[in-house]
Amino acid sequence: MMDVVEDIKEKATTTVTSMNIRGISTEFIGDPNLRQAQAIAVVIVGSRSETEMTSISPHERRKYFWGIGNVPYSIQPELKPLLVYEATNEQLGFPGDAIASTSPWPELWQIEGFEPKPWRGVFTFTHKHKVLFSKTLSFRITELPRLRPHIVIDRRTRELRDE
Amino acid sequence: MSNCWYEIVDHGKSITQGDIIFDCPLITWQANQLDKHESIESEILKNAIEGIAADVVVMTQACDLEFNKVSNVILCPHFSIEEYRKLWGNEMEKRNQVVTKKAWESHCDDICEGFVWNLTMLNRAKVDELSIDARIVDFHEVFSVPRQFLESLLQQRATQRFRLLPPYREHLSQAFARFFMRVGLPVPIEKTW
Repeated sequence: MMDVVEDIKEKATTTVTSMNIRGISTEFIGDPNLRQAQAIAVVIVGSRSETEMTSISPHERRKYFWGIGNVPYSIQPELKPLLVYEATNEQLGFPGDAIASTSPWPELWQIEGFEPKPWRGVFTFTHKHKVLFSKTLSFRITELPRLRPHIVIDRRTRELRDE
Repeated sequence: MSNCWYEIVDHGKSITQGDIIFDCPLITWQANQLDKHESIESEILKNAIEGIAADVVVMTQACDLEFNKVSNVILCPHFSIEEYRKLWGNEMEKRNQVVTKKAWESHCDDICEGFVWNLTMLNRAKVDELSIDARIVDFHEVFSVPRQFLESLLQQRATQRFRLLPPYREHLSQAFARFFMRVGLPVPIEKTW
């Protein structure tokens, strides 16, 4: 766990966006690339008290938390920018606490911009059928019999011929 | 629960378009085996043949079956809506999309309204004592089996089956046709409104 925290701290210093918890900055929501990618990793950075809430200094040691359920899968090195928000310890609580009431996420998720884009067109998904058997089939293509056309003579064909 | 989408037919009835067949044995090719580019042409399909079981719906035109115009039957697979929801969720996560109830409902609405070309939905129903859940048909996979084999299989099983009724049968057939006939424009219409 500590490795993950250190890793996140390191990344957080590269793309830092600060936020005052009382006036949520939602500028990033206007960025169509971030919004459509749906890959915004969020790290909540805890200050010691409300009075100390300032922009995040890359060199300052702070607590790092992230929401359960919404974003953890996005916190991977090869994925997308990290957005770092600052909140007080009182607002965040501690890991395991019920932090939802003080997390900015409930307010952010109310913004319609977070809805994933609809997959209209073609939607491909992976599934596995139940395999009954596998078999080796060995042959020479040149020796295979040619497919013969199946001729259907119906009423319409006869009518056309009679004309 | 609506039951006007289907009728129940006995095993002795000839197959027709819209017949729902569960656990149908099919022959397919293992895609991973086809990656092997052997130098000898005859080796390409070695180890590739595979027998699978899938829930399918008959797509061959009813008149072609009725008048014995075809010896093979075209089938497309379908999945229960619960199974498809899991597959959809997995796929969405792969695409870094947020899996929400609202997104799922919106996706289902899109399928029902024909916005997803390769998919269509069949209604759930309860007819007599038999019930069927909502099913998602995927046109991306198309199988062909000999008619004789399929009819023999159904005879052997001796069970009743669901059959889509008109116009729901034609609605399925139309969705299949739309999937095949669709044309993607390289340059979309410029928005002037």
